[in-house]
Amino acid sequence: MADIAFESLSRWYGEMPWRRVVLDGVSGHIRAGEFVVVVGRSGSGKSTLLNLLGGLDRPSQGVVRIGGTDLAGLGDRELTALRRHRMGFVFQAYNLIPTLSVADNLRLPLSLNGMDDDGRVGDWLERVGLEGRGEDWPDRLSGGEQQRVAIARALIHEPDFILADEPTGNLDLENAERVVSLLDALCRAEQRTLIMVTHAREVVGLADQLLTIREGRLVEAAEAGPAGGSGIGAAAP
Amino acid sequence: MRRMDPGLLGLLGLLLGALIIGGVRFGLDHAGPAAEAQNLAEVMGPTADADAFARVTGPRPLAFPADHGAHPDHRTEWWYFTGNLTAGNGDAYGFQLTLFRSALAPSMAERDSDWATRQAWMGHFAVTDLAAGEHRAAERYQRGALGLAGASVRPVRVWLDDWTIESTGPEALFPLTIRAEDPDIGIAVDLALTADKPHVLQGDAGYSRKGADPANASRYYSYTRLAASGEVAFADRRTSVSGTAWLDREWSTSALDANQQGWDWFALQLDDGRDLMVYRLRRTDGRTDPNSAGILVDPDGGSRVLDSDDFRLTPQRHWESPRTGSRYPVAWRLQLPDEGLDLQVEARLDGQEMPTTVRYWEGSVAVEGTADGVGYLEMTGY
Amino acid sequence: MTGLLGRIGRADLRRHPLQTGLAMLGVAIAVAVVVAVDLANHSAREAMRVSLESVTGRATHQVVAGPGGVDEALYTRLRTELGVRQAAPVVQGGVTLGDDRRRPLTLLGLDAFAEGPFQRPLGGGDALGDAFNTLLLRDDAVALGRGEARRLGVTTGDPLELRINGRPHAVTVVAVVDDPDDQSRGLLLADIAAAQSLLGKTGRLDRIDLIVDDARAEALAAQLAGAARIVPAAASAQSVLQMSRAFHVNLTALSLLAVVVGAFLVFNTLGFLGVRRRPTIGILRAMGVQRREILLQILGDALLIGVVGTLIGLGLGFALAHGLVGLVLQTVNDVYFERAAGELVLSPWSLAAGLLVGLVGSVGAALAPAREAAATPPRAALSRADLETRARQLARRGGWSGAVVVVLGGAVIALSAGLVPAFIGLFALILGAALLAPAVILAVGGMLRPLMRGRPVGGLIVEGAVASLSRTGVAVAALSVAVAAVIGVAVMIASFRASVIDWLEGSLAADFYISAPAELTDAQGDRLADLAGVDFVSRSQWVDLATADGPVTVWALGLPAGESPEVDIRHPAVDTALEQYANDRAVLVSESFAARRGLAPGDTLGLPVDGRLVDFDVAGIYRDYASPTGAVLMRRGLYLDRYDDTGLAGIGVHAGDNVERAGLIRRLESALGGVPGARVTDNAAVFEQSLVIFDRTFAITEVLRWLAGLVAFVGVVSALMALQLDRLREFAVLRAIGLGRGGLAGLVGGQSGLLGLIAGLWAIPLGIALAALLVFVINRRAYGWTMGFELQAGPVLEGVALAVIAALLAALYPAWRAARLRLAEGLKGE
Repeated sequence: MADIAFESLSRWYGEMPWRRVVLDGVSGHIRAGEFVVVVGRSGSGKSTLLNLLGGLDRPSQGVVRIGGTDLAGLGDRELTALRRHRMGFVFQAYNLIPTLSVADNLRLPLSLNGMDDDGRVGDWLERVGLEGRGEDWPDRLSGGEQQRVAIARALIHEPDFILADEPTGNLDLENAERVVSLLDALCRAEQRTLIMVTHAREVVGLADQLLTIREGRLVEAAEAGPAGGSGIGAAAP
Repeated sequence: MRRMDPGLLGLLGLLLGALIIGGVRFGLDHAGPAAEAQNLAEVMGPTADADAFARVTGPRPLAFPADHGAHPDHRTEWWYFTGNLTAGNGDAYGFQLTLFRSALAPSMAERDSDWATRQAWMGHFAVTDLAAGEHRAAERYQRGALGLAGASVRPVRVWLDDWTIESTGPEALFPLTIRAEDPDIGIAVDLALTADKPHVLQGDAGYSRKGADPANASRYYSYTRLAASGEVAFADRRTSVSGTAWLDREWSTSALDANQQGWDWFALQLDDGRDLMVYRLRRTDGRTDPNSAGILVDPDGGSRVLDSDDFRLTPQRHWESPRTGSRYPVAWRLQLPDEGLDLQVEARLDGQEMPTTVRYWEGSVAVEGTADGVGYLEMTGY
Repeated sequence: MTGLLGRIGRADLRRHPLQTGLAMLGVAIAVAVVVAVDLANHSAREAMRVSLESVTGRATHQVVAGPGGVDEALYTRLRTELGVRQAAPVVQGGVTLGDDRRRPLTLLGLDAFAEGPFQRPLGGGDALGDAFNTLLLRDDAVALGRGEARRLGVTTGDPLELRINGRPHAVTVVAVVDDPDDQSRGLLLADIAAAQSLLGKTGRLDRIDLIVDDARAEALAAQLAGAARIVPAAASAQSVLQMSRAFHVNLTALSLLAVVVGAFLVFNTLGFLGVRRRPTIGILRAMGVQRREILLQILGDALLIGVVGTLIGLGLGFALAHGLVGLVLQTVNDVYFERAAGELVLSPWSLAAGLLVGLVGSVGAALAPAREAAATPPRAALSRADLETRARQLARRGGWSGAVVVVLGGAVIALSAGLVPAFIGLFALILGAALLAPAVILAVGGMLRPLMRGRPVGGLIVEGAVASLSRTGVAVAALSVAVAAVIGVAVMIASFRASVIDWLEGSLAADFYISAPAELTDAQGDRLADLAGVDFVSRSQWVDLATADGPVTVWALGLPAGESPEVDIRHPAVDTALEQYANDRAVLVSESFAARRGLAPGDTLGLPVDGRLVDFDVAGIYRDYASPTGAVLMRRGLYLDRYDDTGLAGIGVHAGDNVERAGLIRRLESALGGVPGARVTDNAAVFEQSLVIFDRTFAITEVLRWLAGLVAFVGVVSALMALQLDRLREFAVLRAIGLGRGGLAGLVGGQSGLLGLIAGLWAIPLGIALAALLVFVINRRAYGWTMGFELQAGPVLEGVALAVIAALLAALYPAWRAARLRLAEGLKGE
C-alpha cells in the first residue's frame, strides 16, 4: 500500500504561444485506501489529472510520487509494469476487448501479471453479479453489466489503486448507483485506493477526499468523512 | 467510271507520269514526279541524261521488220492502235490499244537476275460502246523482263501481260492480231488486222520534228487504213465486229520544246478512201506551234505531208469532264483549203476522257462536211 | 441534405487519409495490372499482325512450291497466259547487319510494277519517289522504313554493310520511306532482281502472292498442278497468330488472375467503408435520412475512390505496359515469329477493361456492404458481435458454395478438351478456393482456440484474427489466391524446365553441331565424317512446307545405317515406331504437331510433294519442346526421294569414344576452313543457349506471377493495416491495463502474421492444384506438350513466406502507431 503525492502538476499541449494549459500547478496527497472524488466541469482538467496519477500520461511539469517513487524516473517499461501490477482502470466507455469473452476479459490482467485463474474469474463474476455470463461476448451485455465487468477486470489482479474516469457517465441512475456502490464497497473491503472522476455530485458524500478542479486549478481540498455527505452513498449496501 | 486503285495510281504516277504524256503522242523527256502534270513544258524539257540515250536527229532509212520491234536505246516508244468498228446489227464501237515502252536509263550493267531491266512498259486499253454511250478504259504497267512485257520480231510480237499484238507471219507485220481484255471492267478486243494501204512515213521520211531543236524529234510512221474484223466485248457482252483501224509507230528520246503545252491530234479515215492525219501543237501562249504538221494519204497509198500552214483547226464546242474538270473541245472545224476540205469533226461520245494516271481525251469521232468519215481524236494538256 | 450527407462521407474519407489512400492504391494497382497486361498483349499481337502484314500485304492466296521455291517462269505464265492481274512475286531472306550489331533483317524483294494492289508498306512505288528507278536499275540499292533507318542510324545515300549467306555485301540506302507505325521494322526492301542476286536465288521465287477469289484460286491450282500449289495467304500468318494465341490466352489468364485478386481487394477496401460508418449511419437514420440516401452516399464515396484509383491505375498501367510489351515481344520473337516488334499500341479495350475493373468493380464491391449498412435500423447499429456472427455464417455458406464450385470446376476440366474450358475450370478452382478461405480461417481458429484457453493474450491473437472475419476474410482469400498463383506458376515453370532439361539431354545426341549461314552440302558432311575421331555425322535439313493449314516444319534427318534418331518417342512402343520409321514411308511427328493436327500413330499425314499432297504414315509421336508449332521428322533418304533438295541446315558430329575434344574441334574447324561463316558449336553450348531462351521465354510469366503477388501484397497490407488502425482504441485499453509496447507489437504482428500464415498454408494445396492444372491440362491443351511434374519446396516456401511477410509488413505501421499511442487520447477513442 502506498500514498500518492503530486506537486505542482501541470499539463499543457502545444508550445508557446499556442500553449493550451489543461492542468495548472496542482498539488495534493492521497493516502492509501482513500476514496478520492475529483469533480469539475467538462474540460476542467480532471480526467487529465487522473491520467497523470495513473501513469497513462506524463506531466508537462511537476511530480507524481507513488509510495515515494517519482513516476518521471520510470521508463515506459517500468510505467507499464506499474500499471499492470498496481493499477486498475475503469472507463466511461467500459472499453472491454470486444474480441474476448467476458471471462477472457477478466483473465487478461491475470495473464499479464502471470497470475493463475484459481477460480478468481468465477469469483469476481459472482461479486459483480454476473455469474454464468463468462462465455458471453461483451456486446451481449447491457451498459451496466459491461461496466461491472470492467470493474471486475480492474480489480481482479488486486491492484493498489483503482482509477475510474466517469464510470457512471453512460449509465442510467439505477445502474450508476449500483456501479458506484460496488466500486466503493470492493475498494474499502480490500483497502484499495479509489480515485474517481465524476460529474455526479452525489458521489461526493462517499468520498474521503474531494478534489474540485476549475480551469485547471484545484479550488478546494476538503476532507470529508464517510458519513459526512449525503446522496447516493445512502443507498450503498 | 471505274476507280483506279490509289496505291497503284500513285506508283504509276511516279514511275511513268511523264512517260504517259509523252507517250500519248510525242517523245518524252523526263520522268517527273507529277502524276497529273499540267505543265508539259516542265515534264518534257530536255534532261541532263538525254544525250546518253539514242536520239532522233534526222532522217534515216527504216528497216523492217526490225523497226517494228523495240528501240530500247531511245527513251520512249509506242505501238498505238485506234479504230472504229461496227457490229452486224449496226452498233458502233471505238477502241484504243496502246503499248508504251520507256527506258529508265540509257544503259545498265550486266546483272544476274532475269528480272533486271531498264525497260518499263505501260498499256492503255479502251473500248467505247457508242450505242450505249459509254467508254471504259484500263491501264497496266509491267517491267520489260522475264517475258512479262516486250517487243520482238520474226514474227513481230509486242505484249504486256496478256495484252498482245502479234503478226501472223514471220516477216510481214500484217496480217496481225491484237488481243486485250480487262475482266474487271468487262472489255475485250480480239481483232485480225490487215493493211489496206502500205505504211506512210511521217515528216521528213519518218523524221518528225516537234521542236525548235532538231533533236527534239521522233521517228514516226503510220498504217493509216487497216481492215479490222473479230470480236469486241463491252460489259462482258461479246459482239462480232468489223471496221477500220489505224496504227501509229513512234519512238524518240526528246520531243517537245519548253513552251509547248499540249496537242490535238486527228486521225481520220474518209469515206472517199483518203486518210488524213493532222496534229496541232499548242504553245503556252495559246498559239499554234509552227511544228504542227499532218499527212494526207490517197486511196492508193500515195501521201502528201502537211505543214502547219496547210490546215486550220477551230474548236466549235467544249465538254467539261465531270471527273477532272478539264474542258475539252469535242467538236472542231478542220479546214484544208488547198485540198478543198472543210470538215466538221465531232466526238461520237463526249465522255471519252481516259481515266488513266495522266489525263487526256482519246476517242472516236465522226466526220461530216466536204467529206464524211470516222476517226480518232486525241487531246492533251487541257 | 444530400450535399451535407456527401460532405459527411468525404469528411470521413479525409479523416482516414491512410485508409482512403490504401483503398485508392488497391484499386489503382488492380487497374494497372489489368491495363498493362492487356495493353502489352494487344500490342504484341498488333506488332505481329503488322509485321506479318508488312510481308504478306493484302494477298489472299500464295503460289508456293517445294523447298527450292517457285520457278520464276511461273509468274510470267500467270501473267501472260493465265491472265492473272493481281499477282506479285516475292523473294525474301534473312540477312544480318555487317557491323558488330549483327542485327538480323529480312531482305524483301518485290516487284514494284505488281505491288499496287497488295499495299505493303514498303512495296508501293509512291513512297519511293525518285528512288524507284535506282532500286530498279541497281543490284545494291535498298529502301527501308523511317523507324528502321533511325535504328540503323542511316539515311538516304548512306552505305550499309550486310552479311548474306555468310558473305559481306555492300548496299546503298536509296530511299527512306515514311512508316508511321514502324510496320517495316526489320525489313529491307529491294527490287526483286536485286534481291534474287543478293540472296543467291536467281531464277527462283519464294512465293507468288495473289489476290483472287477462292473459285479462281481453285481453278489456278488445277492449272498449276505439278508445278506449284496454291495456299491461302492467311495460312502462314494465321498459323503464327494461332500458335501464339495459346501464349496470349495464358497471359490473359494470368492478368485475369490479377483482376480476380484486384477485385477481391477493391471489395475488401470498400466493404470497410460501410463497416466503419455504422455508428454515423445509425445517427443519420435516426435523424430521418433515407436508406437510399445512405446507400448513395456510400456508393458515391466508393465511386470517388474508384475514379481516383482508376485514373492513377490507368497511368500506372500505361507505364507498366511499356515495360511489359518488350517482355511479351521478346517471348513472341523467341518462340513464334522472329520479326515481331513494335511500340505500345493503345487499345480502347484495354482501357475499357481497366475502367470496368476500377469503376464498376469499386461500386459493385461497395454495393453489398453499403446496402447492408444502409439497412441499419436507426440508432441501433448492429453490434460487432452480430456482424461477426453473420460473417461466420457467411463463411460457412461460402465454404459450402466454394466446395461446390471447386467440384464443378473439376468437372468442367474433366469433361472438356479445349483450352478455354480448361481456364474456366481453373478459375472455378480459384474462386472456390477463395470462397473456402474464410471457412479455413474459422477452422484454424477453431483448432487453435482450445490451445488458447486461459491464455488471453494468445487468445487475443487468435480471436483477433478469426473474429474480424468480416474485415479480413476477403483479404485472406485474395492473398491465398495470389500466393497460390505464385506457387502454381513457379512449380509449372520448374516442371517445364526440368522436362526441357531432360529432353535436351536426350536429344542433343551429337557432340558438336556445325552450322553456317549458307546451306551445307553432303560433300562437307562426308569430309567431316572422314576426320579422325569422328564416329559418324548426322545430317539435318529443316524446311517449312507451305500447306493450306499453315507451314509444316519438316526435319529431314540423315543418319548412317544402324543409327536411330535420338528422340524421346512417347507413342507407340519405341521399337515399333523406329522400325516403321526406318523401313516405310513413315514419319515421326512431335507432340505439339500431333496435338495440333489431331494425329495418332497409324494415321496418315498429307505433305505437299511436287504440287500434290502425298500421304505419309505417322509412325510415332516424339517429345519436342523446340517449337510450339511442332515438326515432322523424316528420314533424309525419304526426303531426298520426294524433294529435290540436297541442302543441309546443320551437321551433327558424333565423336568416337575417348576422343580429345579440343583436338577434334581444331580438326573440324580446319576441315570447314573454306565454308564462309561456318561454326562449330559444342553440345554443352547448345544446351546452355536453349535454357537461356527458355528462361527468357518465361520472363514475362515470371513477371506476371510477381505482379499478381504484388497486387495481393498491397491489398493485404492495406486491408490488414486498416483493420489494425481501426483497433487503436482497443490497443490503448490494453496498454492502460498494462500490456507493454513489445507485447502490443507482438499482438498486432501475431494477428497479422497468423492471417498471413493461414493464407499461405491454404495457398499450398491450391497452388499445387494450380500447377498440376497448368502442367497436365493447360500446357497440354495449349501446346500439346506433355511434361513431368516437379514439386520443389523452394517455390512453396517462397509463397508462404510472401504471405507471412506481407501480413507482417501490414502490421508494421499499426504496431508502430499502437506503440506510440497517447493513451489518454486513445482511450477516449472516437
